[in-house]
Amino acid sequence: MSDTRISDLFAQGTAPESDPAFVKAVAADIGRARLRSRLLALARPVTGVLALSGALYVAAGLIRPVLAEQLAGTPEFMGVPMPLALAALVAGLALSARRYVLFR
Amino acid sequence: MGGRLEDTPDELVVAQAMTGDDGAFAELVRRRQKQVRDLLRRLCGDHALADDLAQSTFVKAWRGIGALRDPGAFGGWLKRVAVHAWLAEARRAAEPLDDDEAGFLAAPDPAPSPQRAAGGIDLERALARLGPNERLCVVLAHGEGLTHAEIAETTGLPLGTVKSHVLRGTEKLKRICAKVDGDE
Repeated sequence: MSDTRISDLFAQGTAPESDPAFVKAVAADIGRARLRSRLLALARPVTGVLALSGALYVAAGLIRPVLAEQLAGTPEFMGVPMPLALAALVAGLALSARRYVLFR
Repeated sequence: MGGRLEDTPDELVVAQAMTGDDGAFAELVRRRQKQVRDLLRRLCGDHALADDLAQSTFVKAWRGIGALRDPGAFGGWLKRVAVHAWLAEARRAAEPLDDDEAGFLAAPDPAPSPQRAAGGIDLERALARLGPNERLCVVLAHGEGLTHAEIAETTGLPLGTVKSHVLRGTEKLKRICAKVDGDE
């Protein structure tokens, strides 16, 4: 058995030259992979926001009794103690500024 | 656009696919499907599994093609993706990758197949009697025309091991094929 005979054997193959069904199956797989990656990309920020909201809710429950004592008698804005409203405003502005600086 | 793509040189189609053009990528699948499926059929010896691996190879290629730097390197890169898909499947199926000389000598003669019945040598069945690493090196050397250094780079095997696998695997393959030829 010569090397040429081995090369001849390898020159033949069992897969068809043209197979539209296979090309379609690959296209369908790619479509599914694309949908999966889009859903994942969407799920990531949603999960982040939900986790942050949960953490804030728990933290608010923990600090409420402490703050209630300290904020007793302070002026209120739409039912929220003024120092809290101002703190939320400052935090929001700081986050926006950070975002602006990071993603400029 | 589809009609024009068919006449477009490979490198330009790859360059288009790298920009996220799905039509160009489909054209690459059309052009390369036989090559990838033949490679995997020789490695697996199982057409259904090989075709599944070929599909996942093309999906991985679609995911990674944007990171390819040189469109001319697409062919070699696609082969590497296919080989890695097969290696991962072999590991998952816990197929022993170390070659077993005693197993080769004790292995039964390949069963008849339509190709053998028609008077030809069934290369895939003959290859199935080689150890997985030997089979990989022999297929890449003879089927894909890779040099020993390219095989070492593609498979991650040491160069000396590749040379030994190609030499010993080819000898074994010749012995198997000569036996089949002699039986006819």
